[in-house]
Amino acid sequence: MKIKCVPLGAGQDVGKSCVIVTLGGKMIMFDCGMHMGYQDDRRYPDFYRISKIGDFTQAIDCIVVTHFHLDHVGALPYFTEVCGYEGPIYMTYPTKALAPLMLEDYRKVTVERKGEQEQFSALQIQQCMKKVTAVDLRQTVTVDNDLQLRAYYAGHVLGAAMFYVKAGDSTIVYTGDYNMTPDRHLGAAQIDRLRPDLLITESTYATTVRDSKCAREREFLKSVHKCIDDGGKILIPVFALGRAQELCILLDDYWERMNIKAPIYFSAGLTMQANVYYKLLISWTNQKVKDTYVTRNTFDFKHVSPFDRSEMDAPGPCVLFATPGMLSGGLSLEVFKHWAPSERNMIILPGYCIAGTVGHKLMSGKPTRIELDKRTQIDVRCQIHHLSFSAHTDAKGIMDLVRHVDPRHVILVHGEKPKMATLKNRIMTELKIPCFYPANHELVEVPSHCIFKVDLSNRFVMHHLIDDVNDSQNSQNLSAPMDDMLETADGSSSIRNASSYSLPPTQVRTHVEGIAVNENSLRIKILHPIEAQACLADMKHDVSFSCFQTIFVEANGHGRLVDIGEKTILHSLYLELVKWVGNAVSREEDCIIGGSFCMRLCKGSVTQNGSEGQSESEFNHGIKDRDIGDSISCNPSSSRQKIEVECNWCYEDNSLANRVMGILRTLNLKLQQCLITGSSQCKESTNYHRY
Amino acid sequence: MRLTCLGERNGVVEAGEPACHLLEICDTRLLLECPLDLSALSYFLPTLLKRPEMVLSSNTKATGYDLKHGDAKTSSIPSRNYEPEHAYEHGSSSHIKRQKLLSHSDADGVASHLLCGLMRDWNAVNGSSPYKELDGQILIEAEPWYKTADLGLVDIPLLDAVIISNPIGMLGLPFLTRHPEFSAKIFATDATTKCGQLLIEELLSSHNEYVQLYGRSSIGKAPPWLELKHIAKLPSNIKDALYGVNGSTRANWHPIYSVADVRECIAKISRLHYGEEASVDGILVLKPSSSGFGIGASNWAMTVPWSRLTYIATSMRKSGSAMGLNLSALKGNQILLLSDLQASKMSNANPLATFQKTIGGDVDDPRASKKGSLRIRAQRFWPRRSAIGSTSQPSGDIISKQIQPCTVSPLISAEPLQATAMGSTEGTPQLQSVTSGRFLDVKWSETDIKESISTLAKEVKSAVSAGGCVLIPISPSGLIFELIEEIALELRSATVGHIPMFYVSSAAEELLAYSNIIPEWLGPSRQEKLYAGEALFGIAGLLKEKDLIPLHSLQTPEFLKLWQEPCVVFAAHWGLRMGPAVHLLHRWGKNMDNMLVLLEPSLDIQLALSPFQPLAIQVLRLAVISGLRPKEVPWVIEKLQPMFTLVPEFLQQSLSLNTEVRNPTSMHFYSSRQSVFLQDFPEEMQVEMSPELAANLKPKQLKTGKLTVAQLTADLCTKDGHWSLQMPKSSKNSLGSSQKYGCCWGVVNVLALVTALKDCGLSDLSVTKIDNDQSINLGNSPLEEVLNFDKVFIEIYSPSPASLAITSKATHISSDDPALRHLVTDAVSRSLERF
Ligand SMILES: [Zn+2]
Repeated sequence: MKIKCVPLGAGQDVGKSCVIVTLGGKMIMFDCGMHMGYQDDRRYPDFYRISKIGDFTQAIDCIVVTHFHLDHVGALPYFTEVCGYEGPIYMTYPTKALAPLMLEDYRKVTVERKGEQEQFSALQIQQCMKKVTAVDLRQTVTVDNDLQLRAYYAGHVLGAAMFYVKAGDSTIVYTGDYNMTPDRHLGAAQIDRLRPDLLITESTYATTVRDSKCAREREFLKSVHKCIDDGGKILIPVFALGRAQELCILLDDYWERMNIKAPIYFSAGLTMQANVYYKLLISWTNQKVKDTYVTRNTFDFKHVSPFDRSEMDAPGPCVLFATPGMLSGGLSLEVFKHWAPSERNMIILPGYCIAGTVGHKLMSGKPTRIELDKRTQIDVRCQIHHLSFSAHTDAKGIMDLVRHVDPRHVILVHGEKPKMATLKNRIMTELKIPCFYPANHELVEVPSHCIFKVDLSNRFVMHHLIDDVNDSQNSQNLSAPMDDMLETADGSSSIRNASSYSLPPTQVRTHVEGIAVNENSLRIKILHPIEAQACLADMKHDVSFSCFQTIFVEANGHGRLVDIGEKTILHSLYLELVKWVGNAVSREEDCIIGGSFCMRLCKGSVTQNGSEGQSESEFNHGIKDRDIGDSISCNPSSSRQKIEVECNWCYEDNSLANRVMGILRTLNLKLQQCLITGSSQCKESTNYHRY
Repeated sequence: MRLTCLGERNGVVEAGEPACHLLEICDTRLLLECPLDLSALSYFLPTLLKRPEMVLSSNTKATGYDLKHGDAKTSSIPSRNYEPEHAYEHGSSSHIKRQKLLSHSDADGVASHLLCGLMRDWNAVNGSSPYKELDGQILIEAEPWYKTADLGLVDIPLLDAVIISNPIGMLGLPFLTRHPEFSAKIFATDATTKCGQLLIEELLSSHNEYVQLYGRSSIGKAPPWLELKHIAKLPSNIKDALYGVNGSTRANWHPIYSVADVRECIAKISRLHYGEEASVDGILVLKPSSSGFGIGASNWAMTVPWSRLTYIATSMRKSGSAMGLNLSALKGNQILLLSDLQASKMSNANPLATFQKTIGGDVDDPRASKKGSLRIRAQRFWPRRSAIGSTSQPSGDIISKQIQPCTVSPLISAEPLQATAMGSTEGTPQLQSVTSGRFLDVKWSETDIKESISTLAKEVKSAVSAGGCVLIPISPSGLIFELIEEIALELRSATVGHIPMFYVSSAAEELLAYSNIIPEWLGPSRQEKLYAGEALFGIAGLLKEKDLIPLHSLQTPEFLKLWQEPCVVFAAHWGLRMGPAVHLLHRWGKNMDNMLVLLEPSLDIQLALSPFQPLAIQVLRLAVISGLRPKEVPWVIEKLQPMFTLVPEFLQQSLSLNTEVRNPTSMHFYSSRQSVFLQDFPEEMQVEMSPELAANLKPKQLKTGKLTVAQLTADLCTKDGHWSLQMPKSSKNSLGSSQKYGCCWGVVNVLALVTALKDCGLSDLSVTKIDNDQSINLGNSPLEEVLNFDKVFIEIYSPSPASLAITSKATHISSDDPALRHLVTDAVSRSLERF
């Protein structure tokens, strides 16, 4: 079985994440993102590589979206509403709630942009989101009988998840973006040691190792405070969700502590609305935020108010969070035009800026003049601050995750090619795991690990794992003398105990034995040996036994046994055995049987036996030169006499036979009055004795 | 698989009582739920009466109080300033004076009140009996204890896991977890854990308030009411209800747990999401799915390697705002365990039935005449009132006609709470002590919960519009959110100005805040609110507008500041014995404009209200259905298609009459303290075989057919419910295996056999080969010739004689010496060449 993986986006690149994976006969699309750096066809993944005729619903079994960032969900409405994909789509509750906000925000920005035609309408976003199935963390979702998936907490942004997918016997983990360290409002990524065939991980910071976040936060707050004290205005271009909330928590808290009066603004409407969602979804944040929801919801910011355009040129210091991030247009760019020329003001760029955006230009060097388009140029005199805390994990985090998940293969996506190469080498050398970082549209095939599935028969399972009822019934006769004891004594194996095997709750390893049967190279089936008898009939080897046993009989005051009669003796023997083995034996006309076990009195041992003295030679007709005389000491003066029985049985009934033989050997049969006078009266007199 | 039912009341599994089971499956012992029998709480008095003379002295005062209220019928809205009417200090609570102002008066009021209600010691001879008879009910005068299921039948150290499906099932958990030998894992959904924690903490805080007001009546030893000498004197119906038949459940009573017990208990719970798999000791895999019974409430799918079981706990086919009953997650399991079913009549149980039962027992009482006279005397103290203002009935009359409610919607059936036919034979007015303005029984709509709630809300509105206060005793559950929303909607349309709603409970603030952060646990319509970016419930808005005010208790400064009447109050109650609802019922009970709403179907209204009698307050009952009804059982079976179904015994009749079960399933009925066995019926189990082991198999083609067979010796391993066959760790002698199965295969290798015999010290032997009717004696060292033979005899001479006759298909062993026989057998089985 092979797992095939083709990145349609985010292969040796950041932007438009979209990875197609075929495993276990299923095709899954992980993320359906757009590229913010392009305005042409290149902004979307090339979906027609999946199906030339465009029958995506048929081709793809499901789409999994990891989080609400546009480079992961941006192309989804286009794919469902324009390309016509109608199959299942999965994302977490927060992603389903928040992705439409991001999409709507983006749509507005593009519409506002000159000459730009919208890719999808507001209605199409809504219709698209209706098709989404929301999932909870760690919930095992069954897509169909052979396809299951499960979300794990990924940090990064609210609702971000890694997805584990199992199709047939093949398994894969796709991380999306994740953060291995908690931040102001989110926890760190959490996943089990899943040992999948393939791990596809992001590698944004493939070579970066970051220092403590606290120091960077302090530095950020210090520069903000200084700027405010100097009467400057601070612009923080952000996307509506994610970084905006994290920085807001940070500033709101700082404002409270330092008693700062300068207003913090959120660009009105959308970003304020986003906080409402965050309040509802507080159970997806970190423990610290969750713990305080009763007294005050962390996203009820005290110092934050909505921004009015008229305040753009109002005097006095302020902080403004404005969308979109990267200064790619909209309000943030408009405000930038107003505020950039003043040295007192400050632009804070949090996080990554894609090439082609104003944000990217600001980050690369310190420009003094920026050309927005042919007619507009802006003098940039304000301070520019780049905030390097990112919601992505660093190289150490990636290595930790790979080590923890312990996959058989790794594929790197969502990163920059040279850095990915470095990380790939680290994974191959340090972790000894094969690693790949395909470019877009480049196919990687990895084998899914070879597993043999076998069926265990009912009986096999019962025998090894369930306390067998019959066995436990048998074991109630433990006090009976048994030849079985010898078996355990000689140390060959504890046979009896093994047959009543019961799995202790904590035991995770049980020794089992059985017969593996394979018919016409279909699946292997493991049978209990007894079940295997049918197909192994011609292999069977019958083992049978025969044996003689001397029994002492006391018939007090009733003379010779010959007078008593074989049947009476047999019956009293039977009654004696029943005491020990219950209904495992039954009585026939002239023998006692139990399965293949059969016991009868030796011919002549009663009728011709006058006294002990004579009996010796009569008994020895079975096997020549038997030497039993020495072991028997008899007292001629007592009424104790000997009889001999012959037993035959097959291997199957060995344990019953051994038990019976043990009983007989130590038996001192006392014939009762009633038995001697006649077996027909036996019942009555037994009853009499009871009264 | 074995199921033992641990719940008991009156000796049978009864509906309305939270179920509790011990499930043993695959050597794993699971306790399903750990609830408390809350109905037993109603047998306690809501106060303690320390000194009889003290009570007597307040007798007249109480009467005055009562009459005063009766007179104030026209303007009965109690004063805003909640001054105690009698400056009277209760002995046991004289400390903390300032804060307890209200509660003092309350405690006093309740105490004095009880005297009017025909109270007398149950044991006339022994004045110190812990039992009091009040209004025909026998009540315990003691600090409440709590009754769990028969946990005595559970071997606590051996318990592997506890499964909690809803907050109700969690109430008794601290009693279990504080056991020093408790080591089981506990599984519950995250939301159940949270709601359960709030519920438990509310119980603790209500109990602590009780103790602060009335003191502790027993510390560290068994209280008098649990003593056999007192129990023996009780009528059998009470005895059975409290102590089980033959006193079997006497050991189920426990004193309240501590804050530390609760903290430790909560910390031990593994919190799951719906659909999250969790494994117990790597063998059993659990998976919760929504049951529709409330926020976070769950049913469970359990998987062991050879069978799958569905455990349906309290479920509702039509749910409110919580996520609905999810049966599709439970399909395809062989065993179905249905628990917590409603008895067919439960949703509409006639409260008079229980009443009648109690009285029936009393008729034979030789002291009946005395009681009767007492009652007549008591009659004079309070004038009978009714909703239409009828004058008091002559004491000798049988009340045959009662007041009908002004508006009767199709959902409402009105019936007088007074007994009409009862006690009339003697012509004495025995039973008229039970009074209320009117009694409404709102039927819980099976099809539309919203309709039931809106009916209720309309009633609340009309009560408030008439100037009354509405008291809704309620426990923290999902239902409260819907009630608040609906009532707020009605109040807004009322024309009487701003009427606040209060939620008085230690859990109030947290629960209301919690309601807004749980989208994952709600049904589709509420989840839409998340996607629309709106608050999940209207509660957030009500809190902001101060239409809804959460209060921790009635003893806080906020209470005095914010309290305003008329109002609608949701309040913690605990069987109407503890918590703020008790104080409020006492305060409002005498006024017929006020309304009391009772929501719990298991609450015995006569019993619950008896300490508060006489009451004029309107009583509205909305018995909220919890649990599937018997007629829904076939529907569930149809959906899930189990092979075996386990249902409580009381359903036996209704189910056997029901022909709707089209797909035959083997029905088993369980009853209290009984075990039901189900033989394990494994189905084929699919496991993974490690590549190393597969490579190690040496398959042989059989002569007949295309079958290949191989002997397998392996270790069956499990991790988190995932099973696999691995290379055996121990090098056990696999050859011994044939002996366990009583069967041998293959052909005897005579050379190997002789060697094996010699290894055992049996070297005094001779081998005879018979080939083509020729007998060849090979002595004791046979050559390779023995590889082909028809028959071989081996004679062993010492230590005792034995002989073997061997052919290619069979071996016969003759020996009288058991030890020798065993050695020989072992040698034969080891020298068989298999496959
Ligand atoms: Zn991202």
